[in-house]
Amino acid sequence: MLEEIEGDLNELFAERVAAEGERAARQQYAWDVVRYLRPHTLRQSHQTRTPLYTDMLRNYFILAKRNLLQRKLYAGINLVGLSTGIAFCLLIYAFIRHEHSFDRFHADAGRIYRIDYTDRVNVSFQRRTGKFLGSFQALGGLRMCRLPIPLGPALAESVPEVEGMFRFREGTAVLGAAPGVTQQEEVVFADENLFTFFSFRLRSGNPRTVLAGPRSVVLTESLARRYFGEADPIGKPLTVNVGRPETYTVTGVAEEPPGHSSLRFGVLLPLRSEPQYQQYKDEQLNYFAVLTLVKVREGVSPAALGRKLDGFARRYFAENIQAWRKGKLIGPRETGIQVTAMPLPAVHFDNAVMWPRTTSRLYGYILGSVAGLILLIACINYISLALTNAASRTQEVGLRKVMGASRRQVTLQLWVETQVLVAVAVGAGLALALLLLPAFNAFADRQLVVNPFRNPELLGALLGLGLLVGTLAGGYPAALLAGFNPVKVLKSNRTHRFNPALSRGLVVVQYAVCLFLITAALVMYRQMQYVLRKDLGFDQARVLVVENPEKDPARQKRVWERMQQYAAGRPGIAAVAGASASFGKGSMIYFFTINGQNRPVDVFDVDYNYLPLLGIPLVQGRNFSPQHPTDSVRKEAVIINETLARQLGDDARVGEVSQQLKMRVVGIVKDYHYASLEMKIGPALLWLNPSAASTLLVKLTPGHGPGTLAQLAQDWKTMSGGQPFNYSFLDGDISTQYREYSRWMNLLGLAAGFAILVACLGLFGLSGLNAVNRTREVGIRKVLGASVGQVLLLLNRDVVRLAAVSFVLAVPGAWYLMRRWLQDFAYRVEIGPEVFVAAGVAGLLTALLAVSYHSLKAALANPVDSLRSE
Amino acid sequence: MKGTYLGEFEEVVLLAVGILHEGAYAVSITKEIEKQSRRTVHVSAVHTALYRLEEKGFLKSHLGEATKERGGKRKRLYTITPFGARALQETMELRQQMWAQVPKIIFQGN
Repeated sequence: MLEEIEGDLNELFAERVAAEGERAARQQYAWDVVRYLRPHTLRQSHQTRTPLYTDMLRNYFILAKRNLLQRKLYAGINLVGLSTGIAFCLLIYAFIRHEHSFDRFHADAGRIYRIDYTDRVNVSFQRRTGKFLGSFQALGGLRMCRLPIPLGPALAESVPEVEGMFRFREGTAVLGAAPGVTQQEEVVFADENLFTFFSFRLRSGNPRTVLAGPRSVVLTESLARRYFGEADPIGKPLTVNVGRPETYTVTGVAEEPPGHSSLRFGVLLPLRSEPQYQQYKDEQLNYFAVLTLVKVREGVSPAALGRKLDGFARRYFAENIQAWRKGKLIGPRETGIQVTAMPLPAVHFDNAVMWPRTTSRLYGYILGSVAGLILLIACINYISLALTNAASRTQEVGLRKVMGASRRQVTLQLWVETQVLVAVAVGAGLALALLLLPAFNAFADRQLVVNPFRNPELLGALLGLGLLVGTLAGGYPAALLAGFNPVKVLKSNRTHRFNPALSRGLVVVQYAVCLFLITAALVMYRQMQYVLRKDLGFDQARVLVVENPEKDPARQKRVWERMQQYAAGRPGIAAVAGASASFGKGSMIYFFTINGQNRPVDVFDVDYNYLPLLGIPLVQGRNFSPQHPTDSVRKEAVIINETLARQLGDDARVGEVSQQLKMRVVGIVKDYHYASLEMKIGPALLWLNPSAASTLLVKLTPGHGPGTLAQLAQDWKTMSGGQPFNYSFLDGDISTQYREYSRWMNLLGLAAGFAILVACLGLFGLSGLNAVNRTREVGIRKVLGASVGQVLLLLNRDVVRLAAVSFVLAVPGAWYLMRRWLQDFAYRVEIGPEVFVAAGVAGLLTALLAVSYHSLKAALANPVDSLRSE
Repeated sequence: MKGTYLGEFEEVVLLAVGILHEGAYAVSITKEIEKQSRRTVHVSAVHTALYRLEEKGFLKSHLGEATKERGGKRKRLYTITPFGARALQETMELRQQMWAQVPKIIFQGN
């Protein structure tokens, strides 16, 4: 009600109390109020204007600056913590945004889908992708994104909703512009409508015809420059060898595909020139090789497309479905296989299939969580410090209120103070992010750019983050401090004692987070060490892996023979062997019916020297040998590993033909890790192919390494008929398999380090304030006879207790998550208690270290000084 | 003058303000009216009238001092504006004019 009305009513009340007594007066008062309830009596009219809070803003800024400079240490601590958190958040925001922008730049991206094929017939096995966090993915039937060659065109023809279809496949070829100058390149074999289906841009050449001719080739600008210099390459010949060297004509130059494209290329060749295209172009079912995408008409919903695909699958595979139903492999109503479509923008996150450049969405979540955690710790720091600092600001707040500030104004002032600090932290965070950007790009294998001035979205996110942090960190202390009753505070001289429970709770949360990060980093480290040191069952030292790009079998054989002769005369080379694939580079997979189930078996072509060179022992039987000429009859003799032998059971007897494999088993080799340790050793067999030499293994004798390598590089040209010399070391190949894991480990370690740093800074600040609060207590204790040691114990007892509670909180979560992560590996370490003990001890020690400065100072202080003022 | 219509109660309130001269606020005006006319009036009615009179421009107000009985709330004091004085005068004149025209014999006898 209006002020004057309240006053009038009060006056009347006073009179009536005197005249009629309090009770009657009260009743009258109530009645008066009711009668006064009219619109014009309520506070709207006549009121002096509510103070405009913004009038004081300039003053608040000055105050904020002054306060922050006065408390440089605490401002500094908060600044470090907040800017670190903000820097991490910024980097990860850029990363996540980049991830989500994949493939969206195509004009018709909303209408493009990738076609997948799901096999439900052979569900007796599940092949898990060996990628990071693979165990966190759901496993369904076997879904593949590689399809038979004719499926795409058949689909486009029979489903009217489909406007266009595109297929592609990756491969390698050897290119040469001038004789003798050849280079192996990654190529993409593509349907001719690449440039009309997608929005990739051509520098020169006609997008419709550029891949139409059977011998046309398109290069990106950088590759064109490499092969043709600054001259215009259009119309020039280029030797392309995808099996046999042939002369192609350059028909176009394309712009580099952008960074956020799943589909990357340097060299484009027509799909028809893919070496196995002719052979399998009508193969409906057993050859899954090309990636197929379709573009649908406007207005076609994903559901409608899905239904049409179901119908298509039923028609296209009708014969096979009938056969499966008859063979009882599927039920009478089932189709066994499924053809589905996935929208193009989602394809980047599909980790379960072999699509180029996929990541898991989990990466984003994990990185986001890590950044969030660090920011949380920084905010908690701020709140704890502010709360403990509150005692010294009660007078200030009290005085302000007496001078007329409303509670809201004081809250606003305090919040502005926080916000100013956060604004500085945002600036510092941005600088820090830019500083860390190159390292982050190296870690994430991306080319991210952080430039808020170029991307208004980033700037908006930055400002939003600043506001959020300022409110989150500053809101509670501001509201609390502003709520002081000035009368109470200014009267008493005692320092206001706050409920320490909240501060303690916050510190516990902080430390639990730190412990969690430390534990995760430690477990990852141990697993990495295990994986790198584990005996893989063969000798990987000093083995050179040389790729033989010659595709023609006759020529391959010649290279192999020449290599054998070459090695014979050289002391630097201990042995040379050939194989179809080296470690970590995949294997062939053949299906056999074993124990009634259709099972995949990893298959390698090897030569006579393979097993001896790698030092892989045989448990039964013998190696392939030229003394048994039947060995080299194709697919006649085979060596199996122990796992396969176990699966075959009695069927696998050395010297006899296995019924299920339909080949003679000449030897059983000890299980060895031919793939990464993520996968369990599966059934594998080795065929003899005496000149199998798409990969050559060269074992170097100790001490001759560099010289022999250089010599070989030179001599390779003559031996291989001009092929480029591409080599790597076997142990290097093996450890790059785990490169991703070690990157994550480094990140977690770094994050843990930062988190600990920030938390320790917070503890440092807290302990300082704590010690100040307790100087008198410490003084008294010392006077009464406590030793320095006892005082130290007293002051630090709290810290130890808090660390213990944090430990108890952090352990279950860390244990559970690390177990899940370790399930990625078929061969792993056990999470023993040592890890937790180590983390706990590390946490405790750092905590004690953080508080030691102030507790020591307090414990050593002269009690005379602290008690002088009593 | 147009727009100077003064209701009976409003006229009474206005006169009370005039009587009280300095110190005319809702409670004192109410008491004055009750004293003069010997009828009970509620302070909220007086306040509404004061509000309307101020809107019409017959009164102006300002906030005065606060006292202990009022719980620290200030009182709003009203004074008659020249416009208000003019309106009162005209009303008075109208009454007197019409009263003078009524033949006095109606009131004699009976």
